[in-house]
Amino acid sequence: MASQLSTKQVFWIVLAVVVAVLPQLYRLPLWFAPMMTVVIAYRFYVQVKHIKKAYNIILMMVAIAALLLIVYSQGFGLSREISVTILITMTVLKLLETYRQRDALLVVMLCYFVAMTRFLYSQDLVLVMYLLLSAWVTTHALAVINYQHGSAWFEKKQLKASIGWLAMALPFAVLFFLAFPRLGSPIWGSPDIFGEGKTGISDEMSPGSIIELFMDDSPAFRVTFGSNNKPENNQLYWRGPVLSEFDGRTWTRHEFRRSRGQVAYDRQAAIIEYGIEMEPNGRHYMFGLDVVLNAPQGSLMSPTSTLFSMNKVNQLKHYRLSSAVTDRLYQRLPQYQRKWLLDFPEGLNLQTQIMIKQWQATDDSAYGMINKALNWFRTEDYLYSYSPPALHSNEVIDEFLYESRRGFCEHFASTFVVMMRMAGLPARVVTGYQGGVDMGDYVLVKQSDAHAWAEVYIDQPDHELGGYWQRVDPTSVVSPERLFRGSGNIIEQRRSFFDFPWLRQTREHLDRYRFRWNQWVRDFNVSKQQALFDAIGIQHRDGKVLAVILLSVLAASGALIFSWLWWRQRPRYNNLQQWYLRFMDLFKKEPAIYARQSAGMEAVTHSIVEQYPGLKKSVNDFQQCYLRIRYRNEQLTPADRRRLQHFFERLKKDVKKRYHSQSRS
Amino acid sequence: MTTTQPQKPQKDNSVTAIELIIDCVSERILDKESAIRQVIAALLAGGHVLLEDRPGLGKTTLAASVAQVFGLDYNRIQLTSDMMPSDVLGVSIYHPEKQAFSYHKGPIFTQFLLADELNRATPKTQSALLEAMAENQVSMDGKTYPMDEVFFVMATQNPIDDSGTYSLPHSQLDRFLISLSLGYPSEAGERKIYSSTYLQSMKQPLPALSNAEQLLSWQQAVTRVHAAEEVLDYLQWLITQSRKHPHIQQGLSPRAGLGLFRMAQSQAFMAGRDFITPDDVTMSFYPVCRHRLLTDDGRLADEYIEEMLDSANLV
Repeated sequence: MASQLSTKQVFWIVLAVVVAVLPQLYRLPLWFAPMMTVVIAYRFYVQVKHIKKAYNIILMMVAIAALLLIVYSQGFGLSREISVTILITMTVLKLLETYRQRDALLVVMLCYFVAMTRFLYSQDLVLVMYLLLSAWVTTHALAVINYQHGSAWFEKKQLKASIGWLAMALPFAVLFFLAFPRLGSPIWGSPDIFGEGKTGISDEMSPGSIIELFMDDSPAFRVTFGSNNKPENNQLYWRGPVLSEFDGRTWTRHEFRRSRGQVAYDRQAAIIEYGIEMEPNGRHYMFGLDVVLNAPQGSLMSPTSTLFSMNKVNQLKHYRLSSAVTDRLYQRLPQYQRKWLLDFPEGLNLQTQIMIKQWQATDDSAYGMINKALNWFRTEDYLYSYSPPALHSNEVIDEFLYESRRGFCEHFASTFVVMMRMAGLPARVVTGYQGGVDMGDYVLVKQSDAHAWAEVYIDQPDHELGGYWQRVDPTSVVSPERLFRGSGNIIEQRRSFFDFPWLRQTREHLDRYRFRWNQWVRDFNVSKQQALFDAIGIQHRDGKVLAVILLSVLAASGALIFSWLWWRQRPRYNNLQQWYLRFMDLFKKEPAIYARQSAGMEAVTHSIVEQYPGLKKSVNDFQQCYLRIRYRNEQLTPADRRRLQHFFERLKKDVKKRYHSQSRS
Repeated sequence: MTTTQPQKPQKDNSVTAIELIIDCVSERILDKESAIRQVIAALLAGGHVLLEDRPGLGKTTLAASVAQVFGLDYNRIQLTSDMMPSDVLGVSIYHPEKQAFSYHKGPIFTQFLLADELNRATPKTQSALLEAMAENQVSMDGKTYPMDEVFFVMATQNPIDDSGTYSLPHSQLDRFLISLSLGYPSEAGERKIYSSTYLQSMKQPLPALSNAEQLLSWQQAVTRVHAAEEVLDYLQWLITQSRKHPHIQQGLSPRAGLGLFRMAQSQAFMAGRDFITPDDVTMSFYPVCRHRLLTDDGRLADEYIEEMLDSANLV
């Protein structure tokens, strides 16, 4: 009759389930949270009111209903989403029939699994820390199930057990992490079902689209420069998608498919090498500085000098680049492209057009135009602001230039490009990131560093490519600090309710650990593993060697633990008990007698005499001597030992004689 | 359960005397040596015995024989449902000439009392008897009348499911040191009953091989038997087992534990030893527990007692 679980045990089991499920709640169907609440409430109701538990048939129906709901809300198939949802749902429903220790243990095991499935979606440091907590709660539930003592919520013994168990598991976890054979690509890593991280620079830019990124302090990527070749912060333009089509409000990408964009750079430009660790963004974009000289494996260089990954970046991605750091990008501009790049909405923004016409009258050169425009932004009353008034009219350019006068990079870049086009200069908007936080050994680029700037095509007939794209950042004119201090630090007002400087600094500080974590743990791949094992002299080219190592270490530690347990629980005998065991050893070959060892000396001698009456005298003599010493004197004096030895030798002789005579007959 | 391994008689002649007594009673109660040994052990330990059996199995004969060989005063009360406490304890009678009450002692004032069919008496009478047993005295009209120093009660009882009986409550059963059931004799033993020599000998009383004085000194000697720590550990372990057992209503009381200890001492004494061995405890455990332990559905806990003894480790 197994005993029922106590309320405390139920509490811990439920807590373990809740903690394990919580980080996945956001991606579970809407009905899940209410269902879990009802299940838990019902389980506690049964516990407290001692009402009869539900019939199995009802539980079965509930389970089937839940399955149907899953199929209804997530479709039918064997995807990661559905498998994980089924696992979680059934774990929660299992609480309904968890009344005994056996079921409780099962739920606890399932909790470990549920917690682990969260890793299929992300392996971030913060998440790992949370899941460690979850592992502890689950382990503590295990301890509470196994050592039910008092009703206090925290018992020392249980606490000691759960922490001790986790500590014991730690070396194994490290071993498995280091030695478990790595797969080339994750089993579940199918990109189309990736669910997270869809933030970052996008294909489009319309008023207010970049502002969302300003709010987001999560890391976009991290850059490690070689020794001492990190450019100044205002040189760090991380080039992303280039937008060249404007419908009067929204900028979109236009790839000129036929162009084979041969790109050149100034001979004076510094060439630097650097490595990038990119957080998953669920898109194809990759980022690099100005003119990237080598497209890493698995990526393409577009004609607009943007790096594209062949696959969506759904996992932490590492790549190395070398770039020419320059604001001039030499490239041929075919005539048909030029037409595209001069396009702006006809008949709108007339006020701006008139102003441009006036400027053209005084100085028609390209740089003259650029300088006039920048001067205009600098001298007129324009403000860099994260909360500019919304632009409602069709004539966004006029409205911004003459009415609102407040905006951030996307307003300035967009307006500037349109102004250049009005002046007959091909121009385009480049999006990406600008700057980054210097973390010492790497530069952290956050989503909030998103930026937009302009490129204007300058004809240079004497150059073999006929001209170059000149980078112009109108924002830098309005707010030069933006380029030095990063977007987050130049505005007095808070971007959101939770935006405090100290919080931002703490997050930046935490990123240092995240970087290390990525370096040592998330990015521990096949080649790093091979390097590690090569370093300690174990050559392996497939997983078999590792599997053998793992299994043998496991077997050895298992043997060690079991022998230690055995050693700790071994029976310990005193001198007198040893004599009894010696006596029993004389009858080793008599299973009927030997099996009665635990019944004690008197019972054993009784059955010996019954079976072999010939031994009666010697057995009884030894027994009486022994009993007196053990239960009267309670200690073994040398004299006693001699007497005992005497009787023992006699008995031994008699027993041998008997065997002898038996074998002869 | 193992039976006594007869120890080599020592120089101490009390063992010989007791063995002689056992032999003598065994001639009357055929084939029941172990039961006789238990009764005598209880007598030496100064406890009372409850015999539980169907009629005609020799309960009364056993009691009478033991009383005779020990040379004790013997009284027998046949309990019935119309018996009053005074029928057992005695009455105070008014003497008009002396203008005073005088107390007439009842049948309980003896050395060896056979209370036959105890569970036929009403609870009132039962409790009067059992109280006297426990306190070794009778209180009447504000005066106490002590019993003889040797006072041994052997009560017999019909099986509890018999009709017209008042079963004894648990608290009163606890006052008996041991309880026994004689059971049917073996076929060979039963055959001897019909022999003429046996029937002849039945008519003569048994010789008194001892007396109250000697019994008292033996009882004294029993209390001096040594118990090793290790043996007490075993005894304590058994008691604890009875309390922890999931299917037993109520574990053994400390009084039962003391009883087990006394019985073991007594068994050791009868075997001619001045120390208890674990086997003495093992042997005494069943008779001490038999009437005290009931299963959770009200049956005798025989199988569980066996189970507890078997699970002991006496290495």
